[in-house]
Amino acid sequence: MTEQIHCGQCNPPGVFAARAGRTMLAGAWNENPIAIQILGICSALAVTRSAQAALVMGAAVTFTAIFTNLLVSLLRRFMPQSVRLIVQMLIIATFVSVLDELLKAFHPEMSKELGAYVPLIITNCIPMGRAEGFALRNGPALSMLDGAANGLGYTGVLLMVGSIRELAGNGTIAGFRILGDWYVKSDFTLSPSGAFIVLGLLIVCYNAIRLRAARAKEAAHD
Amino acid sequence: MRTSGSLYTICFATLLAALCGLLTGGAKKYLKPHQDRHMDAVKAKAMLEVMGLKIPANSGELAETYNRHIMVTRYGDLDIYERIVPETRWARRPQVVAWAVPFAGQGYINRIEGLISFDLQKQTIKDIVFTSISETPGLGMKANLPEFRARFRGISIDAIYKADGVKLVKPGTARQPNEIDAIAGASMTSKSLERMINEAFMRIMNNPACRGEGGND
Repeated sequence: MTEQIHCGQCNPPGVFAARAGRTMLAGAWNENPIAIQILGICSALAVTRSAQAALVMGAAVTFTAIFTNLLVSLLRRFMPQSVRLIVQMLIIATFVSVLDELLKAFHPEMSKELGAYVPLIITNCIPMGRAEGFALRNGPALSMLDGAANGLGYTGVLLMVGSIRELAGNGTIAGFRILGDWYVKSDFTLSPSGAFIVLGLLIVCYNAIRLRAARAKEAAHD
Repeated sequence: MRTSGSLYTICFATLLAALCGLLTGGAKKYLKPHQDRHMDAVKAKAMLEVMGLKIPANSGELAETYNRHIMVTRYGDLDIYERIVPETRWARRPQVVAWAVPFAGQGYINRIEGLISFDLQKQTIKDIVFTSISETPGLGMKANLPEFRARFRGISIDAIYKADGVKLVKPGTARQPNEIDAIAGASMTSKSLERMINEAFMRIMNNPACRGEGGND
């Protein structure tokens, strides 16, 4: 029987896949940027008046997080420590500017609807947090996965908030009528205070599900 | 590799800044024609809407409808968009049935831009359309609702001229022919709109060429 020998520099087969799985699960669920870390709340409240806007905003943050993580990871060995935060900020700003131009060119109505919140991704804690917390210590592939996972986690919560607000506010989801003409439109969930309440309730549900799953896991171990 | 020296840091920062500058500059340059094309389409759609024309779904038809029905004519120092009814078997010459002029100014939060049109046969305001408005959601943004825009339609040009402009008054108190109910809870946006619309209106009324006194160029 032959035994495979590994150099120590590279990961044995299966290790990368396991790490990738853990990274995805952590970003998207266990350490969800909004529900657990309470990051990126400002944009999450402001742009979730409709499911479509929430989805585009989520995609924008995901794009920025993926490519920022990739570049930061590629440059991590060459990056002077004293200026690393400003370098990360510059990289984020570059991708956000490109994204903003792309939105203006190909999805201008949405660019108008999202307004200043697309340029404000530069100050969103998620891309910066992942670049500093993950991409500086990991390889490009895992870093991109981490960016994608956190972006997806953010998008998922945004989409849920956007869908609930739009459904309760207009009786539609992504512009499609779900509730009939009998439904009386309500401005409350579309208002900023309504956004806070919807997001708060969603976080309560999210944590209740996580807690229940954790207890079930503990019980299974016992 | 030693990455802590000042010279290394300066070189690294310069190279990265140049790379980022190239990327953003390249994206801006490459995407500009797409953005301009979109802006033209937005303006054309707004013009067709304010002139009461149906907006075609595809861009080819949009350009065709615009070219067929809209014409820009210079009256003195003022460009006026005219809606023309193309010549038919019964009407040998194209007829101008409406005029539109742009209006713009500072709103409560951001700059507001739009178009106002006048029905030349009925001598009334035909419609107003906003091409750019970003006011307080739920308050100033109500200006963009069809209900608010409908309040302008049918107001007599003569009544506005005699009263020195339209007046946006407290909701529910409009009595005079030149008065319109303002947006509830958005007095600053309403005041700004009143000023912009009156400026656009007076630009036409104070222009001798528009009143047929000087002929057009």
